[in-house]
Amino acid sequence: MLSRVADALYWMARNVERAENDARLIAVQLVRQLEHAEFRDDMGHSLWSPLIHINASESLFLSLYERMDDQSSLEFLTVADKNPNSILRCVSTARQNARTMLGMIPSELWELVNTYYYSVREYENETLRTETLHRLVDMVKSFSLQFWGIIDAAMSRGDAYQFVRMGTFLERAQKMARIVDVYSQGVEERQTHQQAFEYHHWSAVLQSVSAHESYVLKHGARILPERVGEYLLLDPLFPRSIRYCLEQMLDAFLTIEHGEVKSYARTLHVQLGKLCAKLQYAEIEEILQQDFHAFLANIQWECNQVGQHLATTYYLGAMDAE
Amino acid sequence: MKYHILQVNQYQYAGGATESINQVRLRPYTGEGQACLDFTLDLQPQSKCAWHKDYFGNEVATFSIHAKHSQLTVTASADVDVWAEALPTETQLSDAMSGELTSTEFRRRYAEYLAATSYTALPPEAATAETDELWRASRDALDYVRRISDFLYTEFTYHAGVTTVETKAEEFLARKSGVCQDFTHLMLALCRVHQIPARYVSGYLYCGENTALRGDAAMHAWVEVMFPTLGWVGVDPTNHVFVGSRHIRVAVGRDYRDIVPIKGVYRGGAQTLETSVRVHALETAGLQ
Amino acid sequence: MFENYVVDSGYDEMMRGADSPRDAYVRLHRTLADFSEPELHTRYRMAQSIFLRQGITFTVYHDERGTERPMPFDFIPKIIPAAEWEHIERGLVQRVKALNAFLEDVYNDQEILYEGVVPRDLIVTSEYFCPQVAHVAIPRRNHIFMSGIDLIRNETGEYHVLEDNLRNPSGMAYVYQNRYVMRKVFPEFFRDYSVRSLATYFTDLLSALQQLDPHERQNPTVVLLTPGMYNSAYFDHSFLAQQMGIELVEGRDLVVVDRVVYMKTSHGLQEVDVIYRRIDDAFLDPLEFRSDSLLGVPGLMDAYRAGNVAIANGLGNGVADDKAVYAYVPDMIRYYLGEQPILPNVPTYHLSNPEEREFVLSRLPELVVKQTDSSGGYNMLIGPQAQEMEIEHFRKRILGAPHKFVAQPTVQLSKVPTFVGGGMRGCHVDLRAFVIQGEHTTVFGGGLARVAMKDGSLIVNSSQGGGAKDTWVLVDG
Repeated sequence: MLSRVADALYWMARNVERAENDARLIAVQLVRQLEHAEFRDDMGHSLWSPLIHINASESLFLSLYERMDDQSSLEFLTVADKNPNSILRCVSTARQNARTMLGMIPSELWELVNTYYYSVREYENETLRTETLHRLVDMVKSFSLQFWGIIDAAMSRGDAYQFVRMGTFLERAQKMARIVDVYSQGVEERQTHQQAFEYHHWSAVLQSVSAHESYVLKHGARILPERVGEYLLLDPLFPRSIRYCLEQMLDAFLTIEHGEVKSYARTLHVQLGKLCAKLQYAEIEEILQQDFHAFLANIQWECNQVGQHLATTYYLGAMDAE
Repeated sequence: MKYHILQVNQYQYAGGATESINQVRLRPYTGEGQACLDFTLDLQPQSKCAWHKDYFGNEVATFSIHAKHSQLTVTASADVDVWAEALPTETQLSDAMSGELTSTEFRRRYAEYLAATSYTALPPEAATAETDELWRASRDALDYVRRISDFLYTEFTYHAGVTTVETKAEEFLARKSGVCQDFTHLMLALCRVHQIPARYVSGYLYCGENTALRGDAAMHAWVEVMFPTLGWVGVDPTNHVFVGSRHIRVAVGRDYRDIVPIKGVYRGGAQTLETSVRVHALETAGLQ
Repeated sequence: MFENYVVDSGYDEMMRGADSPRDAYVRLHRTLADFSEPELHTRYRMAQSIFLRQGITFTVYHDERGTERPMPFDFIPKIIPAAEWEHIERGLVQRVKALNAFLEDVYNDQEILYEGVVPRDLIVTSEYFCPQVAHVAIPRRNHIFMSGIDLIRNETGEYHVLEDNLRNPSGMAYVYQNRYVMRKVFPEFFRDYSVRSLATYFTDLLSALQQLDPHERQNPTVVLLTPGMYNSAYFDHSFLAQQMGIELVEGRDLVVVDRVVYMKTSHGLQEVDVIYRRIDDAFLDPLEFRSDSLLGVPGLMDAYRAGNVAIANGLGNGVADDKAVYAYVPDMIRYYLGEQPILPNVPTYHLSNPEEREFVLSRLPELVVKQTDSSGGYNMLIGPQAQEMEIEHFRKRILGAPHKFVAQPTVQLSKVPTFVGGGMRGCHVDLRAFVIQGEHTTVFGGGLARVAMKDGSLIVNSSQGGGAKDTWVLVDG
């Protein structure tokens, strides 16, 4: 496959996944805002700031807006053209990617991404009220599901499919590490109402990554920080856990290489393999005893490395870099 | 007259170059009045050349260097025998020749060399303002060519460094100073305006002891005009002479674009070029 | 729907008179009678939304945001009975054969030029003349893999060739999409007709390209080279690549190593045998053409010269489809094939010829004047519709550079009823027919009927507000 197309597939998937994660986070904050008014920050800090933090875009935000209020934060997260991680920009990039490889992807997939783009654009001129946001978030989630539905049902399991998987799962793993990192830091800062706070806090995190129901099925309605951490980081079956995502990455990689890793792909193989092993054999108690933040930061860094080795191995983005 | 020519072109690339592909038109012509006896093209870094003959009959070498390199040296060395003689200055066109020159058939046959190109295009008023008087005073078209050459030689200054390879005839006409390439382009324009087929010639000029001649430090350029019976006649407006055995032809075309001695495309930073040309006479008997 | 329909001057392809459709249209006329105006509106909007969803849009140039608009479309098809089509088909095959022979000649011995049948100066000084390909042995001597020949019908309904497009004719994807949308939104229309299917032509296209492989491999690598997604015909490119099952590549995906063309894949370099390029000559190879081109592939021309890759359409085809050369195509047919042209040209005056120029200048208000190196309906004077000032302006331009212009009598283009402004109005149409040249020459069974939707306009180009209609070639009758 053309490396340019492989690159486009990978980034299309990453961007669709990123838009979905953005939307899920907004959804959870909306719920928290309504149900738990006591957690509203009376220092005037917006409830949306962790979200901006998750995308590591505070400095960009501050260069664009004078202050962090609901409207500016929401605009920034959803439809801002200048934020490369806003939902609109992610979807628009995914559409651009899809467009450069019409014919390599099912035409239904192109039509979906194209329609997706126009649907998000409709929010550009709307005032971002709670009910508008709910509609937007539902729409994004629904498009993401359709996206995967079409890929699952209509895309041949060749290299193209594997690059889509790699993009999706790498984005998902990295974003999960970041979400858990940001929300666990939030906990340390607050000491009052410890128990109630923890319960609501961690169930919101679970919800944000669609993990609440499956977590409860596994552990019952006891929302314990260490179990939540274990579930989101190390669970072998939950499809958004970091471990699961990285195992999928490894599987996609080995499928492309037909199970036989040649010299040019060795570095990537070793990197991915080590990372998977680390998560497969890790114990949550051990992680929590050490520096939890450092652990998560390390995962993010490793994911970044995987992304870079992926690019050199398959010449992704090589042409633009020159 | 036999000559040995050595031309060295050295390119330096700031930060290095990759995926470089180049075309070279440096092999002297073999045909009427001249034969290239020996030619070698040496490339550093080494590379394989593919040769082809272009539409105008020039020999073209294409080569590429993919690996990263910071320097490229192209060395052309040639042994050439030239026996062409300059057209006697008193030559005149017969009525039959003049008649044929203006015939539709003749014009169509040499149409490539009658049309203005991006280098030679002049506003119609500018062209006629300069040449009307000369044209009226001329006995025939050949005489006009001679007068144009004289006009360029006397009214324009040879001055290196004021123009570039991109300079157009129109700009030279206004500036009135430049190098052989500019003299040649303007002469092409002024011949073509009066329906005399004219083409660009690149090559070398052997000056030897004759210090009055201009243009042996680098490659030279001059004009060839086409007349019935006479064929292509070489005229060097930079030196105001009919071309004889001191001029060594390399390539011909409609303008500079067709004969660019070395051109290339590569990935990388800016380049600098140093060129040296040496023309040795291996024998001097019969030099005009 | 046809109560207020006016059949005025010119040839109406559907209606003989106010209420009498021509034979081929009788059944459609009957079906249409069952539709109410609001129903047609609803269906029309449905069609537009399908175009938008599929991304079948063209980019509006000179618009910073890169606005995309769906292609204007009309649902009354242009219907061509089988016998009429058979005549057109023969004429097109003949024409393309002669044009191909002409290109082969021009880039080799130039016999037709030296014999004076076509003025040599007109060809070798054309800006599209490409000395770089002279004497290159091109695969199968096939210069014109795909051509788009624009046809019009005059006052009596007779077909004429208006223009040849031998470089990168676009529009085939629209033909398919128009048909797709028509079948989906107006299925009733097809009820009483047996229309020639478009489904099989991709096989013809692909095998014509594969036959060009200079290595004659079993399964050559064929790619479509596009300038990229910002090109106005990008949809066409991606659609064709997809339907043929070939790779859609950009210049940066290709590299030439030792005179061989490769594409850069995720697993290294893969040799390319045939390139169907939709990039103009000037941008193909910065080494030999425009050095500022970022779209092309350095060294491509040399690989082509070495016989290691086929490029379709051939380079330098522009010398044969220019508006001035057009007038000589009937002579080419006689010269190369020894036949009389089946499809006539529209009479054309060359303004470089002093007698013809004088004649034309005295009749500017009646004539159409075209600049020979322009396309897309720009730089044209339509005498009968022009203001005096415009005519005088053109007169000056003609006198400044007469060889750049040709003139033609104003042909009253035929009309087909078109749904505009809530009713039916006869609008001028032309037809772009596509000819595919491989081992055999195939005329694509249909074409892009372009319609001038502005009132009274004669310009059908999509860049100037023209729309498209489905074209039905009937299997019988």
